[in-house]
This record gives sequence, C-alpha cells and structure tokens, in this order.
Amino acid sequence: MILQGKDIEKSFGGLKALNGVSFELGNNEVLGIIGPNGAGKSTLFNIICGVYSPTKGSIHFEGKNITGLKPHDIARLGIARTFQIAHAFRDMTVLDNILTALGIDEYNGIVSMFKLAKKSDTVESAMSYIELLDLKDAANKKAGELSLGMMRRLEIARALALRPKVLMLDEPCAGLSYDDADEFINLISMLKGQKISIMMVEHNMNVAMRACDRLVVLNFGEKIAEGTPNEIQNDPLVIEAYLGKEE
Amino acid sequence: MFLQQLVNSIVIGSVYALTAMGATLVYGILRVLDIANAGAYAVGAYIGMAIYALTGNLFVSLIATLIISGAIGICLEKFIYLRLLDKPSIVPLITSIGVFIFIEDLLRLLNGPYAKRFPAKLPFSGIQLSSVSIPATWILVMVVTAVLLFILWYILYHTRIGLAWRATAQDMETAKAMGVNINLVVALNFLLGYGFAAVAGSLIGIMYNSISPTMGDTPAYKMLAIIVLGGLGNPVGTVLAALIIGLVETFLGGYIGFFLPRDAIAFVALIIMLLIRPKGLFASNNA
Amino acid sequence: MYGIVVAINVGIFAILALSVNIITGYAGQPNLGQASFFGIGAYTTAILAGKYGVGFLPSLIISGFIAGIVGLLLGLASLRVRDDFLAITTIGFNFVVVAIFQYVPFFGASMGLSIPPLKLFGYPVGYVGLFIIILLLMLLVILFTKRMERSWIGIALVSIRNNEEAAESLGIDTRKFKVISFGIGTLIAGFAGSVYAYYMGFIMSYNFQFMTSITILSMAVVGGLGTIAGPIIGAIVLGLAPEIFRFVSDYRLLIYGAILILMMSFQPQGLVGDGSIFANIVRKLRPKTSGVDQ
Repeated sequence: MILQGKDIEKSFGGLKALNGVSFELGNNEVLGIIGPNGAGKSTLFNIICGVYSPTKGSIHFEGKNITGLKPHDIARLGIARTFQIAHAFRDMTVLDNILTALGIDEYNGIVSMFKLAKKSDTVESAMSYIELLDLKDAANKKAGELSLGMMRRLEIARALALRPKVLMLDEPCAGLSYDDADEFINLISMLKGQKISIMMVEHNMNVAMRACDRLVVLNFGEKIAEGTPNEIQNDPLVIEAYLGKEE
Repeated sequence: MFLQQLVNSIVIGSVYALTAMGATLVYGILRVLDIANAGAYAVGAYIGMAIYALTGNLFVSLIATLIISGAIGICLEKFIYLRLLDKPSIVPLITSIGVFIFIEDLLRLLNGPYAKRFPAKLPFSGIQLSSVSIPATWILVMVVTAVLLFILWYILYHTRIGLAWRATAQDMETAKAMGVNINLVVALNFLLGYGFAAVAGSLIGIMYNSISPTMGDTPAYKMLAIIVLGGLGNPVGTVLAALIIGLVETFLGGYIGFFLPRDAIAFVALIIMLLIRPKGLFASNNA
Repeated sequence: MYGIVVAINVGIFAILALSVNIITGYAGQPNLGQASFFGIGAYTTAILAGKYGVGFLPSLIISGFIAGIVGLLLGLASLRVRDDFLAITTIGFNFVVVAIFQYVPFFGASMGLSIPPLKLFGYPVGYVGLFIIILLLMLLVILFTKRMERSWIGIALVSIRNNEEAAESLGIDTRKFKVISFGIGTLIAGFAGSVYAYYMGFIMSYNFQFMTSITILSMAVVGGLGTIAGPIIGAIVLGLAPEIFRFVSDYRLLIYGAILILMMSFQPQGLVGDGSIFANIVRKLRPKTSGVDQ
C-alpha cells in the first residue's frame, strides 16, 4: 500500500462535501474514484494533492502523514497530478512544459535555480517523455496551439517527468473522442508496467471499468461501494446511485 | 467641534462611496480594475456645470450628468473593455489607465488647464444647530448620495435585473447558462457605475465651487483603496469602507493631526488591513 | 548636450522597464508601484552621498539592496492575497512612499535633497561618463535577464505566469518565486534610482509619483512583456515620443493615452512580444535552432 486516506471529512461553509471517506491505493494498482456529479470526487482528489486541507481525517503516503502539506511539497514527495481542465503552460513550447517538471530538484536552492535549464542531457530526458506520449512532432510548438487530446497527453507527459510514485489523473478522458480514450487505456496499462501506482477520478463509466483494477464509488460525499469493476457493476447501491442518470 | 467633524466626515465619506461604487460594480461583474471610472468623476463635473449653466436647474443637470456619463461608460464597455476580457488582467488595467489619461487630457484641451467655478444656487439653505453648522451644499451631497445608493440597493436586491446582476457577479458562465441577459447586466453596470462617479464629481464641484481637469486624480487612486477595503466587488462593503475612510481622514487629518497628508491615509489603512485581514475588512471567511 | 540628456533619460527608463519586466513580464505579477523603489534607491543615494559623503559604488550597491529588501517585504506581505490586491497594494505603496518623502524632514520634505556631482577616482564624471555608466548597468541587467531566461528560475517564473496551479503541482513553490522576482526587480530599480540621483543632482518626491510607475510599466507593456528587447524598445519609443511629438506637445498626454488604448486593444503582446506582428516577421526570417545550451 502506497497511499492511504483515513476518515476524510471536508465541509465548505456548512456544506459537507466529504463525510468520512477512506481509501487505500496499493503498489502498482490502478484505483478509480467514480460517482455521480457532486459526489465529492474532485474534493477528495484536491485534498490528496494539497489544494484543500481536510476538515478531519488524514492522508498517508508511504506511511508518512502528508495531511495539509502544500501542493508543491506533495509533488516533491512523488505524487504527480493532471487537471480536469487542461492546465498546460500555453505560452511555453511542449519541450519547455516538460522541462518545468524536470527542474524539480533545482528549484530549492538560490544558486541551483540559476543553473542553465537546457543542458543537452536534460533536453534528451525531456524528449524521451515527449516521445513516450507521441508528441514528437509538436515538441517545438507552443502548448496553446495543441488540440485538447494532445494537451492532455502533454499534461500526462509532464506529470511523468516528475518521476512520480503515484500518478493522480483528474478525469483524463473528459472531452476526448472514443479513439483517444481507447489509446488512453493502453497508456494506463503501459504505465502499470513501469511500477507507477495510479489513482484516477473518472466520470466515464466505460473508461473506469476498463482501465481500473479497483473502484471506489462516492455518492453525496460518502463511500457507498468498493471493489473490482465486476463487483461494482452488480452492486445494487451503485446501480441505484446511477439510476436515471444517463451518462 | 466633534459633531462638526463628524458631519464633515460623513459628507466626505458619501462622496467617496459614490465615486468608488462605479469601480466596485465593474469589478464585481467583469473582474477588471477600472481606473478610468474616476475619469467620469471629472467628466461629470464639467457636464454638470455646462448643463446647469444652460438650464439653471440643478435637478435636471444632475440627472443629465448621470445619463450622459453613463452612456459614455456603456460606449467604453462596448468598444474597449468587452474585447479585452479574455486577456491577462494587466491588459484591461493598462487600458483603463490609458482611458483615464485620455479623458483627463481631453478635458484639459477642451476647457483649459485652470480651475473653473461651479456656482450653484440651491433651493434650500443650510442648517445651524448650536455648535454645528451644515452648509446647504453638504445637505445636497448627503441627500443625493442617500437617494442614489437607495436606488442602487433597491435595484440590486429587489428587482429581477438585480438578481441577474448578483448571479452574474457570482459566476458569469453559470448565469449565462441560466439564461441571464449578460449584455443587459453589464450595460446597466456601466451606466450606473459611470453615472454615479459623474454625479459625485458634480457634487464635489458644487461643494467646493471649483472644478478642474485633474480633479479626478486623487479620487482615482483613493477609490482603489476603498474598494479593496470593502472587499473588492462588494457594494455594501464599499459604502462602509468609504464612510470609515471619510471618518479616519477627517479625525486623523484635521482633529488629532497626523504627519502624513490626508490623501495617504486611505493607503496606510489599506496596507495595515492587508497585514491583519488579508481578505478585506468585510469579506466573509469562506474557503 | 541636449541629445545626451535625452539618452540618459531613456537609458534610466530602459533599466526601470527591464526591472518591472522581471516582476510583471516573467512572473506575471502586476506591479504599479515600481517608481517607489526607484525613489527609495534615489533617496538612499541622496542621503548616503549627500549627507554622509559615501562614495559612488557603495552608494549604488546599498541603494539597490535597500530597495530590494523593501520590495521583498512588500512582496511577502501582499502575495498572501489575490493578484488584484497586489496591483492595488503596489499603487497604494507608491502613494505612501511619496507622501513620506514629501512630509518627513529627514527626507528633505518639500525641499527635496541634493546630491554632490559624481566623481570617480577624483575626477568629475560628466554627462557622457554618466551615460556610459548607465549603459554598463543596462548591459549587466540584460545579461542577468538573459541568464535568468535560460535557467530554472526563468522556467519557474514563466510557468507561474502561465498557470499557477499547474506550476505548484510540479513542485514549484509559487509564492517563493514570486517574492524572489519582486526582490530582484526592485533591487534593479534601486540601482537605477541611485544613478538617477547622481544624474539629477537634486531629487524631490515629485519625481517618483504613481504616474512614473505607470510610465515604467507602460514602456515594458508597449515594447513587449516577458522579452528582453521589448522593455528597451518601449523605453526608446515612449521616451522619445515627447521629443518627436514636440510640435504637438500640447497633445502629448492625449496621444500617450491613445497609444496605450490602441496598443492594448490591437497588440496586447507589445511591439516585439510573442505573437506580435514584428515577432512573427522575425520568426519567419530566422532559421530554426534547437536551443540547447552546452
């Protein structure tokens, strides 16, 4: 087990967005967080990544309590993330986007931050992530000029360049075509082979069923089910939660 | 003496409230810091004087000032700001500074650089209560401000368009999706925003019997301090902040004595607030 | 004689535009109070050189560092809040600093402060000498910015300008980098202020008003934020405009306002910024390079 959340609770004003949710992410596992709109998926995701701190409960990463750490601290520990709405650095080239992640060890020291960024070995390393996500032709393009599908791939490449132990994906297939989503599922299985644990929030049931080893289902801020895609598919509570919802 | 100062500070606070309201409304909807709004302040003073000279009717001149300046505001919105909203926030900010410089210099070219008189005959006289004397012009300022702010409050909280305004201020995209006529809301916003600042300029012109092209300089920047103190985009907070700054300026500047000029006090208050309550004096503490 | 005075002015403002460019251009943080740091540098030199007879180089360095430290503190205090607050805080700070210069006797109050003529190695330095010093300082700032652009700090700052949340998610402490950019930008403005004090021989609070901040930022914006050539070109264009438009000098401010409005409406990236007409022409003419540093 690499990442664990215990009894996480979060309220905004008087509204409880999460109520005592626990989860465990195993080594080399792909865990999906699913649930209808407003179930608290994004809130949970943002708590793990340090955007919000929980009202109650704790997050442990490799046995260490990381509750309440800032997002940049969490990234440093080895938890990388992507965003639901594409967050590419639009003015920068694809290559520079990747380089940003490769600088992680240089940002701390006042001297090291003035070291040249585009040394040939760093650029080479960046290119390897660019090639991995099939963005080679766009390497010198501005990220703002990319299509949505390419932007999502860029974000995954950028997150991988942090060499994370855990990769967090926030609705990675939102807005993608059927073919792109298919390609994405292949990518996930390839990453699994590289010893990366993945946690993803997914709205698209089809993608979640196919990509994940295990699913956690949230509804109204509470965990209503947990299990393999097969178990979840047949869980009456889950069916009820999704009933009448045309996804 | 104390009561006299208190009345004085309320008068000053009223003018600040009216001036800052325009920028508050614009920020509330568009998230643009509209420095040019203070240009309407000087424009309003000149329009007010011209129409008063023409008609001799104070009431007519104030209404006309509000409408004409408001129309100028709508033009600025349609032809300049609306096209800049998707740009980084520094772009509309610099633009509004350009507009402000342009307006001020245009006034100077049209009317000459020197101060002019704005001698208005009021239909009522001042009040003398033992130690407190309230000139007629002060009464005018307080009454007009109160009426305009009441109208604004009524529109915002008791009409359909007010509801639309508040929905748009919360979240423009959602409001749009819910069928709110954004164009109408934004236009009303600029009409009232520029109209109020213009009336404030007119009132100050009458109160001091003097108007000049650069009279908007100090209000332009002080207004910024006030809208931040009021919580940026919060109309009620703006009125309270304006009254507080009026009070502090009058008492620290005139009564107790203070080593800094009164025009810097608003900014000192701003910086102190940022250190103590970084979200604004009246901001709610929601995450 | 007259030409060199114009050149010195343009040079000083080019340095100032480059300084605000680090904060607003690279890190993307609005700063509408750069003239106050310019002023802090100038007043520090006026006090050190004028009152205590401190020499040129120490005055220059101390002036820069005092401005930079004040800038760091302002950055620390106001970066806890939203960007829009920062714009207004910097405006407010400018007014407060000018008010202090104008009303506190130690800073000469309304009488201003005078600075003895600049001497190096016992020889008086005239306008030409001063201009050379300014060019050297500008060269240093350019070299520094170039280095910054190509190193990790440059990447971090531009990523923050683009998307703060994403920068955070890549391990970049965005607040730290914003404060650093404030420190560096205001340090450079302090250097410019020191040289300006020697050049003027006499300074008053009036020289460092909010309008000066606007001028500095406008130069960087009109030239092109986030580039090195932009602020320099902006300083030359807007600095020379009053001289060129002398025949319409009465309309100077009107034209100035119109330039700002038109530039922002039709070419918000500035004259040479990314995606401007000029930059696109250059991009087409220049052969592609890999951009790898050895």
